[in-house]
Amino acid sequence: MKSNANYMERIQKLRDRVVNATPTMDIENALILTQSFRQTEALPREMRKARAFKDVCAQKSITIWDHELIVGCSGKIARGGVLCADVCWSVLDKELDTISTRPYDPFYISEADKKLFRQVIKPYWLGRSNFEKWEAQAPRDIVDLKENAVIYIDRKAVRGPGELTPDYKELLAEGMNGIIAYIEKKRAEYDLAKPNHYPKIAYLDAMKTAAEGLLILGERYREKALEMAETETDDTRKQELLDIAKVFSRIPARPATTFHEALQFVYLYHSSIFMEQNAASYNLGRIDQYLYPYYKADLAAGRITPEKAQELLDCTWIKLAEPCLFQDEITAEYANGYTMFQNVCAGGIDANGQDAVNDLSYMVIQASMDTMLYQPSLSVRYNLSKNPDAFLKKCAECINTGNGFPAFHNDEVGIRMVQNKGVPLHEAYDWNPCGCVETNVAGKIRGYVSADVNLASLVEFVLFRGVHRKSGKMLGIDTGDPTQFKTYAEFAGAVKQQIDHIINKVVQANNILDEIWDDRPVPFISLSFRNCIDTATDYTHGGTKYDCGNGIIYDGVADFINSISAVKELVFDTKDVSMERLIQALAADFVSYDDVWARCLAAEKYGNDLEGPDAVAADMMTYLAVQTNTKDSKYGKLMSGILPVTAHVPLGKTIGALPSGRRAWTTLTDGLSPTGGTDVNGASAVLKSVAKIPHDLYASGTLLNMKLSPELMKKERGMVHLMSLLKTACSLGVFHAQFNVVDKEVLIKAQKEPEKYRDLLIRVAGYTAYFVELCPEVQDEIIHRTIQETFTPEKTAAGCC
Amino acid sequence: MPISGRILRIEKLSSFDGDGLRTVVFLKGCPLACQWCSTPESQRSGTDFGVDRSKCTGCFTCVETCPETALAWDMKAEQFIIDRSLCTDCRTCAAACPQKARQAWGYTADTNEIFREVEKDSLFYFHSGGGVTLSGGEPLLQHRFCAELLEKCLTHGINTAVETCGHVPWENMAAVLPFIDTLFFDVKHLDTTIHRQFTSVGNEHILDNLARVDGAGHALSLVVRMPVVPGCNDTEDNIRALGTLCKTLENLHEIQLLPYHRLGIETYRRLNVSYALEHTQAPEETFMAHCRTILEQMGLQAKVGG
Repeated sequence: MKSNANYMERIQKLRDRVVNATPTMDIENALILTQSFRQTEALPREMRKARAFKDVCAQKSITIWDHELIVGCSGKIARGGVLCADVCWSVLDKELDTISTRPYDPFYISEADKKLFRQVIKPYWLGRSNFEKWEAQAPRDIVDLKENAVIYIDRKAVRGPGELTPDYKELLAEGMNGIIAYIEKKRAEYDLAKPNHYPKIAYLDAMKTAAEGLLILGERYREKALEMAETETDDTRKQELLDIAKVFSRIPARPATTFHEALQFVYLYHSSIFMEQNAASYNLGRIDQYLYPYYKADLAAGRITPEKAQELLDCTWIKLAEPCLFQDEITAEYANGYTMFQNVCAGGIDANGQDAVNDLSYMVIQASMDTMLYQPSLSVRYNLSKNPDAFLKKCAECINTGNGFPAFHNDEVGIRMVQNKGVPLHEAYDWNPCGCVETNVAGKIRGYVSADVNLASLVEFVLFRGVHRKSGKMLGIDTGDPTQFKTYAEFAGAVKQQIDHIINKVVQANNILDEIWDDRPVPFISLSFRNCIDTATDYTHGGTKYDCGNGIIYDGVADFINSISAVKELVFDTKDVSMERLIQALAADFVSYDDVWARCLAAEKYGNDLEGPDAVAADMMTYLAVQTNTKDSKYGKLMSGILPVTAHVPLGKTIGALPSGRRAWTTLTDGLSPTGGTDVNGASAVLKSVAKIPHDLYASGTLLNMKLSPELMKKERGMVHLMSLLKTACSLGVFHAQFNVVDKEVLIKAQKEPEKYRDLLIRVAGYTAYFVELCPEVQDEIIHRTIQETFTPEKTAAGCC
Repeated sequence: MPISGRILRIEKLSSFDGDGLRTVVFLKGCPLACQWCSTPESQRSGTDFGVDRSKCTGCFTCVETCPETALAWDMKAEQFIIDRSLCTDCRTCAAACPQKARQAWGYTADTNEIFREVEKDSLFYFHSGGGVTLSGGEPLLQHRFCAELLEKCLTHGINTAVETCGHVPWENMAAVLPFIDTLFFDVKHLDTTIHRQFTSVGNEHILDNLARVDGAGHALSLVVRMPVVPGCNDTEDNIRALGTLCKTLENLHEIQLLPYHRLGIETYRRLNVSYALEHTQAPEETFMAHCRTILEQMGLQAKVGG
């Protein structure tokens, strides 16, 4: 339920401004960056980045919008796509005339900005961006794989890597002055007279420069608020502006002392990260934990009421809903809906391993219920044995609003995932959900997913001896004539060879990308990773306490499992269909093979708690994870994850008919979910099957979508049963689940009359988006997901009536 | 050898057939034929066949694949007909239907198979306080099957419930009672003539069984249920009579009034069976609350819904 408190009037006004804004390209920062880089050619690259950041802080437009209590903006425009020219100017260049009208995540851009882009930005950056370097250096075979959607690996080359969580607890406690003092202390430990000390000294100077940038920005907001207060005629608003100025007279320079200062500090730092490097998944992490001391102190001192604190949180939530992810049209197809994946977390356990839920944990959830916006991404860490039922109930209430939040994370599995990244147990207690469903530890860990692998391709390669049907190219390896396989073990062995091959290709691509990405240091972000200061090493260069290799996302899991399981059942177990005939039917997309198609469709499917497909799931998905997690890279072992975003839509377009019965060129299945319409045994069977996949081994996270009938939740008992369902999911070892509580009919109507459903939120895949802003294929896919109606009141008591 | 039973279907995560989240095992066969029955496909012990005409394309794959040529298309009536003297319940027709329009209801399974299916959701029972519920049809027609299955559940820590119409030999009931945690006992009408009119049998034996269950000394939770069906049994007199009866029970846990609903109509169509209550509407919520109040005023614990 939304709150009906007085502050909701303000929240509603702020919210309207965001909901009604058109996503627009914002090139102001890019212009300042370009100007700055022209002046710093001779400086070390880290210092150039820091100087550019500082220049942006000093020169960018700053605005305090009406009714705002928490202020700030990465760019000039609230719902803006901020261009990071040094990473990916060429993307905008390629799409300058089409970006306003492209099908996936269009951005408006004015003619004046187009002109500035062509005259100022393009001439300087031509040939210098990370994305161009990747395009120039990617080997031919990798390009073939990505062009045919066997893998997708451009995601992090067209924007920053993201997927990190600054240590806000430390920032709030020290202020930028404290950080600068620490940098200076560390700098004094180096000696320019010694070999190799100069790069360390130069790097620490760059960090200090970046920190000074934030001080300038804070001071500009203070002045702006004062200036506006002077001319403000409304007394209430005047006082609010003076309060804002007062907040900035302390932060970001000095440690925060109040809840308001702490929140504003966090938002200022968070929004400034995008100025250094625009990317998805910069996370606020465990906001209920690090803000709690400030809230508690304010309450004790009588400085704040719970209602006032809720208002400030809600205001921050609106700010977090403003930014829009800028990326190229293809990446936008893989991650549709503008979302920045800014994850905020509530719940979990504390440093002693005990219940960490506090009053703020509930207020954090309430903020998402009040604002009903698609960002920030609200996650909970639910610890079955430690967190109270009241907290779980609050989660269920939020799920019931239908806003797609919170993303529900099983705390124990999250802890094990982070341990699997090499973090000791005690530090793993402090993990936080990151981006979509990844795992992270604030201020300590580096590592991000870099590639998607299309698992459905691998089945295709086994059945067609390495040939990619759509292109006719040899993109897999020849694992022998499948019609000669005598046993399922031979077939499964061939699948595993294809797995080995594709992982090896991604490892190769990663090794190139790692070198290219070394060229984009982030001294400002590194300020919030203490080990980066301690070692005078940038975040991107292995400066963090724990480093991980890049992650591989596996897509089309259900299609993969169902296809292998169908081959096992039909060709080897019942022998109802010969391998030869199956391959013929698949090559013909089942046309004139109705009998084979019917058998493929009737074969047992993953998601029904059945031994056959579930055993395939356990075997293949364990093999995939282990093979991935044992591969080395410059920055550590590779990670694996099952978090498709919307990749399953474009990846499906290149895949022919599959033994699962899926027709050619259609969408694959998202995340861990069973294929829509094939999970016929209800929600418990879905969870049981999903639990057969070794979630703990997928340290980059696993994602399960469930669509619940709104009827299910209408009565008090519905909520209680959902709580039982969630507890059971945790006991089963499922890592994550997210819920859409919405009528199918409403979705269909929204597709037909988008203008009437501007506000309709939908959980897509690890994130929430406005349904009407999604592309039609993704909309269709969501409509098609099986609704779990098991405890709808429509099914009243059985028995005779 | 585990005992085999005739099963209609198994539904999971039900929340209306006892406490928590439950697996409901519907058994085939019922001694009653209530006019409001919402699961008409449960009434016969044998297999029933139906067609969803909205999905059927008239391809006649079902007719062609029937190994006994028991299935035919009646041109005049424009419907499928099954020659029951030839049909062996083999279900080939339903399996062959490319549109999944043809359905077959009823199969045979033994207590081990059903227990394995029930046990799959034990974690859900654990977290919700749920368990297994045997429903139907009338489960206690197959009392040996029920006793064996429920004993297995009980000894594995799975809470058990049974929904009965009460019209079975007392021996059947007595055989299963020791393994039941909650017994939902239906009483449809207190007047035996009207009872016979709407259900095809009188109520004497049912009421007798109810009294015997109450006095049998088993530590089960006894719930009396009455479907409230407008025009059939929804008079205040009947509700009061139910109350009076329940006052005589010493071990009654509560009364549940189940509002009549029309969700079974589609199944009648698929079975091609006429539905007697075509024009009956579900009772108003306010009326259900009123019925509950009547019982509460008599000092009874009552609720609306299961």
